[in-house]
Amino acid sequence: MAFLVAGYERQGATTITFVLRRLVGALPLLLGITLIAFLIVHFIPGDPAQVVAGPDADAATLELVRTNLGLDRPLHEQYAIFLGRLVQGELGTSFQSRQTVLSEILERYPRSLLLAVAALVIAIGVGIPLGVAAALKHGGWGDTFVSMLAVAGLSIPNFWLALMLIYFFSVQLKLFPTFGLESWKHLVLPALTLSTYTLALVARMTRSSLVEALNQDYTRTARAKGLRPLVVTYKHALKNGLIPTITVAGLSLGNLIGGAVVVETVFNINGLGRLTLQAVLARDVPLVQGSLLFIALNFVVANVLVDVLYGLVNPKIRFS
Amino acid sequence: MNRRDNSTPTGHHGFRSFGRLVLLVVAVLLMLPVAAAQSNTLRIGYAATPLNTLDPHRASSMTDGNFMSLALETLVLLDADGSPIPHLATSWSVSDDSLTWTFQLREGVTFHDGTLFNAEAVKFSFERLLDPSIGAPARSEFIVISEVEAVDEHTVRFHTLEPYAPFIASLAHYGGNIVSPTAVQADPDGSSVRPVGTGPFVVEQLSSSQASATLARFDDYWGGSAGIERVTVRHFPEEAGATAALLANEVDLMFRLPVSQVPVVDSVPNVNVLTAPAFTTMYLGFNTAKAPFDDPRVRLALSHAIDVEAIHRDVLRGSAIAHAGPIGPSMFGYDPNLTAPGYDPERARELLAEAGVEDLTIHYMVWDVSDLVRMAELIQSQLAQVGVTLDIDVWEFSGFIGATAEGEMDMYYLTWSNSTGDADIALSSQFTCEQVGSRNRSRYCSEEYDALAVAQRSEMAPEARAAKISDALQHLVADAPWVWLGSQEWIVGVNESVEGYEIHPSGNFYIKDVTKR
Repeated sequence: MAFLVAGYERQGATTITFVLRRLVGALPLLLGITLIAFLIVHFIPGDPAQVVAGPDADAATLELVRTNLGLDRPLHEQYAIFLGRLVQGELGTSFQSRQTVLSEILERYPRSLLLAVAALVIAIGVGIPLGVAAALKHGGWGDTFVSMLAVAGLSIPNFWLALMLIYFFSVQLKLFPTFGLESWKHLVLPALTLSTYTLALVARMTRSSLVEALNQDYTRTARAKGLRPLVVTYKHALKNGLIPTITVAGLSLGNLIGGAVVVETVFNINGLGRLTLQAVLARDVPLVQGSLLFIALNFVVANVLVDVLYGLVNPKIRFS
Repeated sequence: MNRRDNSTPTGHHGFRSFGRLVLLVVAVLLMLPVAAAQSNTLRIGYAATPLNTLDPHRASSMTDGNFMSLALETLVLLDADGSPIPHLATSWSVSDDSLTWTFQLREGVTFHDGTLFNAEAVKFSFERLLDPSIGAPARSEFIVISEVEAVDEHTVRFHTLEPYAPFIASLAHYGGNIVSPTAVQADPDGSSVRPVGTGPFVVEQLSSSQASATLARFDDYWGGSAGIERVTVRHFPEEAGATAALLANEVDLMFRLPVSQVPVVDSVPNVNVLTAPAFTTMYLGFNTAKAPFDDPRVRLALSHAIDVEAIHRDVLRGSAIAHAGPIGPSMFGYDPNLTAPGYDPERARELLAEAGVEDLTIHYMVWDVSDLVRMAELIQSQLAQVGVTLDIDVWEFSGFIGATAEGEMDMYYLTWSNSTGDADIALSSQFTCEQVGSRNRSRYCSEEYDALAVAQRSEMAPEARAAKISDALQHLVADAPWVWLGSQEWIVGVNESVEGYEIHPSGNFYIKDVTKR
């Protein structure tokens, strides 16, 4: 990460320049991702034209479909056409649905974002207090309990957890719906399922960095000054110990947005993760390129956000 | 810390606290969504390949065709035993040379956009279907049409390149759905998500997920308006999720319930599991272009070595109909007198010895569905009994259909769905020399068979035609390019509140008269 501690520039202006520079710097990366996506879809077994035409198309129909989709052109030409469109802000049209790739993505994005943010809120809202509790009871039973919880959170497969939650809370107790994302009640179980991994990471990260911070000189100094233990813990130790937690939580946002395939599948939520999966399975080249590009963009933005947050949590950190 | 504790029913104020807790629970429950009780909406879930498009000229899957039937209509319809009955056409006749078909169209039919259904609309729909620039996947089923002529407002004439007896039945294929020319011209790609037809329900939107759709009752439907006001269609990508939705009463009807979920659903009192024979046949195909599978003795030997009954019982849980050949009992051309090779390991060993085949290893391709992998393992153990090794190669479906069309395998599993209820498409598309390299994945090619397959097409008298189909089928069964696994059944989980739903053999939803309690 290319942020540095530096002088006394005006924070606002530098932040904006910093964000812009980071986004522009990500362009080659994003372009590379479209190329990789393009090559992958073309080189894995399975002919996109055959998938569109269906297993029962005769040879003539297959060739018509191939020509109509432009799949008969040489690969470099197909990619050049894609780039040409991209420059004009177009991502092309889905082979399967005949809708524009952008509209397909934008219809699903709010759902994925909502789910990811809800999961992140749970992860932070529960994970940080758990981590703090564990750090304060360092070595005690509470610490052990939180560690066990964290191991469970990291190792229980989402697939299994989701089905268990559906079984108890939806089928048996009828408290929450089994699928969809139409109201806040629909959000509870999937967000809970999706949050577990990040929650465990956040709890562990908070615990270990807080334990470390509590042993630092500045904490000892604060205590020696006679500050109340609560102030020492929260204002001095935790604030400093939060940097790694922010990194973990922030970087996981990108994952939560594009990588919620299992949760989206079990709870039948048509989000970005499933869109991408379906696009790959259907060899829908424009849709694969578009959605991967979009997911990558989310990662880039999440990274930049994390860097900006560092500055907010610790004003000593400046961008250059 | 607040020390007063209201939440435990065992404290000093136990009774009052408990009362409050009950009140709280009741209040929360009242706030929760009432999952059921939208009495006039039929909520259909389906566990199959996701819906791709509702445009009959873009669709390539059976699922697309099935759901199209809610909103779009064909000139003829198949009744429950597969014979064509009037739908948008009221009557038809064929010329003496069997090359011209004349249809009288139903009068007073309007499209969902208010325009009139007439001969021009029929002409437009079929010309779009056949237009090379569209490249409709269903085009190949209608390639026999040379011209569509709008004779007058309500008479349309089809000219065919050759006498083609199954023409009427082929009009029931989803490719033959009639769309509103006005709507298509205004927004050609829009037909994928909002097709405009004449059916009892209007598609409001196929959601961007392409896997769910909402439809509303069409009040001006020519056959009288439907019993339900709204239909929602939603894809369930995960088996257990589909069952949970059915059990939690969040869907009224689960179409294509996976066979593995039947015992769970069966155990619930207010949900019924319906089954009906489908037009879908299952088979194990041989790559007949590759030695030693080019030898009919080897193919017959392997057919004798595979216990189809055990596959039906142990993998498909009895949800299958055994028959020889690719034509099931609910289709025109079915021949009950055909006999499949039958399970006979002894005979299998003899035939293999006769063909001089030893230490045979078969490269078997299948795609990644758990039931199909289990089936492969069962077949593997059966073949081991006759000294044949089955090398199971599990693919992902999109790769699988390409690789099998290229002939990369020795043997493969696949199903074949006929949406016209007539034997012809199977006979002409799956086994003829012309289709090797695309639809004919087993690469079976026999001049003798080709002649038989062609002969039945031009025979206009149904009985004589059935006899000719039977000749072709006998030839096939003797030559064994496929191991005949019989036909699939549709499995549908239906809540008791749904009344009047019956499974159509095509899987299509003719549910105008369905109501919900």
